Amino acid sequence: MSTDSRSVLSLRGLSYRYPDGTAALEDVSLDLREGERLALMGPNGAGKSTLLLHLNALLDGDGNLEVDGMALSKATVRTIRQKVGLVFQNPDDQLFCPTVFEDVAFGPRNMGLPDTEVERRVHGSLQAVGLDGFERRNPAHLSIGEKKRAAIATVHAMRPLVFVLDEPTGNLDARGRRGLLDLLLSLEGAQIIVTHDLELVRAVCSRVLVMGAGRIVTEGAVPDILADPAKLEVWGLA
Amino acid sequence: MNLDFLDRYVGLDSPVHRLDARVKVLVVLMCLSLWVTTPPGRWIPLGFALLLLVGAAVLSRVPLRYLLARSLPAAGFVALMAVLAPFRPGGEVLVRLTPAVAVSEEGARLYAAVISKAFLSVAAVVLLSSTTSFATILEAMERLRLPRTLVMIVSFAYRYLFVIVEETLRMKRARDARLFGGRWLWHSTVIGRMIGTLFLHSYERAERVYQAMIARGYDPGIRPRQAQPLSSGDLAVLIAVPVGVLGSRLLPWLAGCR
Ligand SMILES: Nc1ncnc2c1ncn2[C@@H]1O[C@H](COP(=O)(O)OP(=O)(O)OP(=O)(O)O)[C@@H](O)[C@H]1O
Ligand SMILES: [Mg+2]
Repeated sequence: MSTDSRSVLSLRGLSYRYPDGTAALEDVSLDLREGERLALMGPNGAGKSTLLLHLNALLDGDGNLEVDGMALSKATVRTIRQKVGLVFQNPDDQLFCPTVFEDVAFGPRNMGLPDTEVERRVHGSLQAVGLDGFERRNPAHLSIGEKKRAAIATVHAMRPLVFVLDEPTGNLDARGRRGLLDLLLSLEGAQIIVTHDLELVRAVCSRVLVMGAGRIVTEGAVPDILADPAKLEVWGLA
Repeated sequence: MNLDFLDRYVGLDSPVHRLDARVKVLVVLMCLSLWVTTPPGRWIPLGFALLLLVGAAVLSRVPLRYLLARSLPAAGFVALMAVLAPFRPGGEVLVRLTPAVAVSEEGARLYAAVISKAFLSVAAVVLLSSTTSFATILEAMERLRLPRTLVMIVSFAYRYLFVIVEETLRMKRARDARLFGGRWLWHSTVIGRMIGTLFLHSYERAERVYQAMIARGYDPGIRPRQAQPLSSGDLAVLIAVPVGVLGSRLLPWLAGCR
């Protein structure tokens, strides 16, 4: 990856407290370049999921978010949500329609696309995640692996610039996990991947950002960060 | 999790499924208002309503048994709520239970009318929701410019219903997995606590589902895009059904005119 490629997402000085007073994020900054796959790691409760919700403006902590050169504001929030495709940690939260088709069509419909284009995108995205033929199925009855793929398709159909995935391989068996790694490698667009899966990080990502207690603890290239087992333990990654 | 009972038949393909959702919503609303305002004792309009519903159900290929199973409980509920109606004084006495309490002819007629209207109305709504996905119904309501708050209330009720049912089943399973049973008192405390947790869980889950909707561009403040125009078939249904229902109401009057 060339170092002068365009920045697609930049977050500056984000701090957030949940309404009950829990300080979840303290002065977090991150940058993502076009096509880059960034791993976001850290122990349970470090604030990873909270951070992701901010990238889609679902929470509004203090700080500045810029996506594709656009600063977050009332006028840009819809565009930013389309450009940042958020895949939730629990696919059951993401899939709420009676059929897979309806679920994948939900985003494109909200974008105001005509029905023929919506249909084209649904089929294309299901194919891209390896679920062609699942259109009429009920998302509630899919296996966990299929649900995770369907959840990615719902976002893929919106053609995001950045995929933001919260533990995409959580709860998957070995084969499901390998399949998902291949899927991540095949997706066009930059990715921010929250994960505890070192194998995923090695196979898919180029850079790692490590969080702890709401702050960025360290960041660097994958081989550098994952090289020292002692440090991994200190950071709560192993 | 299985929420099939809510939209098990939405995915079928039939003339009723293909009918424009705006037409379906409008027709159902018009039918409901005509049926509900039918005076007690006028059975022709209600009989016609039943025929109409059975016809639409057969055409839609949604099993009649399913429609019955979904609509009868509501009629039963109304029967229970209106249980005093037959004892209203008026007309001939049909059955005298005690010197002071008797089933009157007028009361019995009222009772039968209330129950059958409730049954017909619920069946119509069940048929609508079995042939139209919920999202489409909401979109249609918005396009018909029904009050925003009404649309929001309906959509929230649906969303919370969905989550609450799911959470209940989840907790029931977790409870049964730990061999729940035994004495009644213990039982009721556990159930009380479960209900509390249920509402909290449901609320939090509903929040997350809502976030997922927002993340994919759902904007409750924005009107849906321009709708397609109605086809001639849609228009025909939109006119024919209400005219038929109205006609069945006016039948005696029409006959009397001649
Ligand atoms: N809705 C909420 N209300 C209050 N506190 C919350 C809420 N959600 C999360 N928190 C707290 O914020 C902190 C960060 O949580 P977050 O879910 O972002 O962590 P995470 O890094 O995603 O953890 P995990 O790896 O377990 O998913 C935790 O201390 C958590 O308890
Ligand atoms: Mg998390």
